[in-house]
Amino acid sequence: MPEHFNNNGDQGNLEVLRFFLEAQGLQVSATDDAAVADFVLVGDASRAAISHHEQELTRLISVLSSRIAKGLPTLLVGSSYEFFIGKIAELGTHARTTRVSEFRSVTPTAELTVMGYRNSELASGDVQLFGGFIATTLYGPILAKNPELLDLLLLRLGAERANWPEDMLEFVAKIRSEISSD
Amino acid sequence: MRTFLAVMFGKLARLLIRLVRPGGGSALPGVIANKIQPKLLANAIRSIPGGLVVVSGSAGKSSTTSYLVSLLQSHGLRVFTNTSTANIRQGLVAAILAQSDLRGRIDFDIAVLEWDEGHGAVLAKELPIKLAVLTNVLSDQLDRFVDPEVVIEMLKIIGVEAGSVLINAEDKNLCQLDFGKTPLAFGADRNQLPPGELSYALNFGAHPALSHFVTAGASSVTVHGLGKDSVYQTVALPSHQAMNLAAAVAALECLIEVDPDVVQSRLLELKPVFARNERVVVADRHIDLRLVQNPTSFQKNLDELVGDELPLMLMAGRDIHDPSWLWTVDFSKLNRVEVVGGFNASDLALRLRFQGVEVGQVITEATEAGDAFLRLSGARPTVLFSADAMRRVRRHWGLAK
Repeated sequence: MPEHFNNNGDQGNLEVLRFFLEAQGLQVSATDDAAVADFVLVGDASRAAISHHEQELTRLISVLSSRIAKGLPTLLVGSSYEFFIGKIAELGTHARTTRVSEFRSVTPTAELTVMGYRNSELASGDVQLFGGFIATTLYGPILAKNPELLDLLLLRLGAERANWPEDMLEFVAKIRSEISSD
Repeated sequence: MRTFLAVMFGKLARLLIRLVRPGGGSALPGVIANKIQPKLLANAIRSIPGGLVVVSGSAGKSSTTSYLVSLLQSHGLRVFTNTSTANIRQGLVAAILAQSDLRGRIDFDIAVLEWDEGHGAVLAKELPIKLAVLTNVLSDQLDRFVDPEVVIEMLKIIGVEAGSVLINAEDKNLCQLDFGKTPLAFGADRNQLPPGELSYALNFGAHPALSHFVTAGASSVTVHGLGKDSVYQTVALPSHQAMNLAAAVAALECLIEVDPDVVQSRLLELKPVFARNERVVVADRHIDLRLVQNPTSFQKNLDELVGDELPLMLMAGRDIHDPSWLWTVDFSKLNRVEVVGGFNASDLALRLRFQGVEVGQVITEATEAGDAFLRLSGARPTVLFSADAMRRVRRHWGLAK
């Protein structure tokens, strides 16, 4: 099932977390039980997948609401995020407008700029933060391209900030520079 | 007068661009000519007696078109087609300009055009389609199409507008569509082409069984006739290319009275479309080129690497608008990539490094990456590149047609 929620490489965020957690000597294992997981990812999915898995997604509402209330590390992305808008009160209501498909820089807090690609009709709410709970229209491997956001999650998971290999950090800097000038 | 001006200015622009950039600039003359005479394309197509055949779908358009054109030509037909990957309106107009007289007239027996699925849905309402060949639906170009459902709808429009429609019976996204007429179909011999090798956009619905009259095998194509099958031997092809070849043979059967001997002879001669699994000679070295256009084709090409490719260059060009999908490709079989190139080189390099792949040089400028690659030694130089990077590197290496 996770493969159905990987439209734009969102599952790559798990690889990024695993990469840095294991580098710190922490063991990582996967579970399909969102209630006990330290980190939960619900990635972007096709309309067919959202429709097919609607019941399972609906069953997640109470777990996700609880995780928002506690600020637990979670990443809710793209069409899955949009599925829960209107079903989880904390995510708010967001008007819909003409679809915009573009790279975007978003500043959910004064200290944090999150960059990524969005393709959505939502007029607002590109990145919402509830402690370690992130709901976003920015899909793909955003943790790989946003070291500060990654650190936010790592610290919430009880780990240390990411220790990036120098070459990888250079790639990230170039990517962010290109998005900024886009 | 309008047509004359459109053709004249279009041809002039084409000439000037080709003087400055040999092998390049196919779209701009088309834009100019189409602006002056929007009916140029339709008028030219309507003048072709054998009618218009279009090939569309997420993948396999160029190969299928190329195979079909070659098979028709082998039967003595003069075929108008859009060479290179000029498969949107301006590219098609540019193709007209390249071969028309100053009145915009072209002298061919039949037209076989590769159509981009998005532009094709619009063109289908303007041009009379004799036969539409629909290859497949993949989860592809989501930044542009949003969802495979959108692609399915666009392909449906093309099929509905066409006189006849020929579809891939292995792709239930296509089998489920109501074209307002019974579609013809080509399919796969599942004993020879395993289901796992033919994967299409996620679809949880039923797979309507369509009887197909042409079947692709690993190194054969079978045409099922009334009481008698014709089995053609082909070169051994990967599953997706075998399906493309089956589509072309099926289309041929729909269009003309075939000569089995001619078909057999041509099938054994067919070469892959340029840059798709192609071997070229550059600076006295053989180089393997592989075009990767979406997650499926990138993964398939990676899976086909045997491990002795050295030096290896991967390129992600400007055509990859949002490179997020690179993270759906599994690169973990690679140990090292000598050169990562193209506009999205940093994204690709970052993806590779997170999968534990060593990365040598990372060069954003495609031509510089091409030069760096040629300086490296190794017995089996291999390049996997997206369409934009392919065009730039081929032109730089003097391979542009």
